[in-house]
Amino acid sequence: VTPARERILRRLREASREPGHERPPALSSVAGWGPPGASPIETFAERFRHFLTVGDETYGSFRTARSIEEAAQSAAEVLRSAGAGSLVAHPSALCVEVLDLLPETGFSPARADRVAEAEAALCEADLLCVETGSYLIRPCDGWARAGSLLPPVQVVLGRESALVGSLGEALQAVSGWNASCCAVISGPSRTADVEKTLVVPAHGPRELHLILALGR
Amino acid sequence: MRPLRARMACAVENADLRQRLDKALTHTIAAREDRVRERADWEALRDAAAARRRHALERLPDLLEEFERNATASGARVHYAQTAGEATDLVAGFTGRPAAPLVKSKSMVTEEIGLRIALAGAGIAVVETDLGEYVIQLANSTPSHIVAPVIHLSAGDIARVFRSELGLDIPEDNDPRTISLAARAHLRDAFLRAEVGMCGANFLTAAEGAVVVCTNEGNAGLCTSLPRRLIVVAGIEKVMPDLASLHECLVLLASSSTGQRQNCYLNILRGPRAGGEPDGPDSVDIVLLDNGRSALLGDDGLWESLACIRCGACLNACPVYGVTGGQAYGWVYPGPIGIVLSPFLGSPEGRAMADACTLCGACGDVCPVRIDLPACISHVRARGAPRLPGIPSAAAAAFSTSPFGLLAGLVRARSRRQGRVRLGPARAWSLGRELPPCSGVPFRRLWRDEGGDDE
Repeated sequence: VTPARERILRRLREASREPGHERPPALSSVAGWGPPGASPIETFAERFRHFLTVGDETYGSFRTARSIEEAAQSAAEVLRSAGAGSLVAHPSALCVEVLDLLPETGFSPARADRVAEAEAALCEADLLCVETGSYLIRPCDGWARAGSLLPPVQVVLGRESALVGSLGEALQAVSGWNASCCAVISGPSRTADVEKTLVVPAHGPRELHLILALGR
Repeated sequence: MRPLRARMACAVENADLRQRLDKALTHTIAAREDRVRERADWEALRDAAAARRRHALERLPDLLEEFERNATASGARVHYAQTAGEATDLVAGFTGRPAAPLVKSKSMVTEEIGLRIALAGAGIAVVETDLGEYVIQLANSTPSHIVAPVIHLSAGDIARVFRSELGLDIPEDNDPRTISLAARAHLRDAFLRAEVGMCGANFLTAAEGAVVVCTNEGNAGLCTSLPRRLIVVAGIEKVMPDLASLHECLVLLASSSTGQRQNCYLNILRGPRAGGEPDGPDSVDIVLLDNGRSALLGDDGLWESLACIRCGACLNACPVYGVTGGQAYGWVYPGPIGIVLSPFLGSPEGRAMADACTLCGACGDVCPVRIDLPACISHVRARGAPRLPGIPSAAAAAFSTSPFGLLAGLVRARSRRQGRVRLGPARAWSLGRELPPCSGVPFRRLWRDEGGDDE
């Protein structure tokens, strides 16, 4: 307990406002997001792709996979086309399954502490937010926070069951996680600080590819 | 520093500055309007965000204590600072003497207290990692916008700074992409070497003891992941009840600040890294800064301005900011919100900034959390301009016959001849303004013709 703390809290209590505002209810759930008739997957895909396009350039992709083999095939195509030779991989079961099926194309999984040198990252999103087209990811034993930031090419696997409607619902879920941090990621990193010209990448990845595992 | 009026006049005369501001603000305003159009629930979002922020401010001391409890339970250390000096001393103490420069993400509250410069004075090197803030640091300048710090500079200006201060080889075509990528490459090493990282907070949440930071560049993520020590500096007004209550504010912040559907990165930080996590800080120190905010909360006319989420939409909409830019204000928070905060948060201009306002109301129209900025600015003006003896109130003057009636007659006569007002003491005021011609009929006559009385 410091004098500064006590003084600030005392001043705030003296200045305290009469409670005149009730807490508003949460906004509507998944049904309210997206154009009428569009499924949550279609809406998520449209919103995710929105972040990938800058002018005439596209910095990533959204794909669906009906099987783990199809997911691995998509991941391989992305890595091959990006020219990525080494990657760091999330230790989730889905990532391990995909990693095991990656064809022999020269990918060499790097240790998690070698994330700065990795040319690509393969991770699994904890949640996918339909309202914003974002994915959420938290660190764990074997997955560094910087894994989502330093490798220039990101391949993100997402389960269909990880879809949530609103950002509020996603944040509600994060509230219950026992994690030191969480990132809500919407597109590859960007800056428009120079004359409002949008440039990808800024400090983070330059490509973001999401593969949605249907039925998982 | 020259007086406010002189700085404003100088900025108005700078055609290059006006052109750059016009381009940047037009772009941002159009992008925001796109977002407003595509969200059918835009006004509902504003209503909810406005209520949530006020709900939190009305419970601020309780929420701060809850935040402190939960952040501490997560392993962070929470500190309070009453003033800029106290905050600087705390941060300098936590930082110590690292072998590599501290890496810092963009934070207006640290600009407010001049933290980077104060730390440099204490021998602690700091590298700003937001591209705009890095340019400001290298140019030894000040930000001109709370979201876009270098909108007053051209690509050529920025390229010159990088060439002269860093020796970067940037081609003469000054391509923004080349410049941005050069900065990325140059700063990567600073991230990897840093022992201490620093960030501000867009929000704090009481129930989780969490710090929420929004960026597009990804620099806050790196500042809070790679160094082994993390320092957070946040204003005490940033606390909200819980993460879920940020929903509307986060959507509105991205849309209102840069016209995006969402910021690229929302980093939600809850204490040091857990065992087994390969990176993240081993220690987290959070400094909660008052610096006039508790006094502002006690002001009946202005307390709602603490609901501000620092999106900068009021700056973009302000016709004065649009022609002067931010540096002319001479303070870290320019534009309408700056005018309101200035008497409390340490502006050298105090209430004088309130003169830099036309009371057009555009700022209030766009504020995502419905702060009545025109009313707040009027409040600042009213308190800052005590009526001088012998000067009548506006109402009394309007219905007096002399000398106001005489002056009004002269203005009308001059207006009929010249088409616009350029008269006596109003001359300097009117030079930068386009005014319509005066009506040929005095207001008093119109009023009486409509049946109004002089009372």
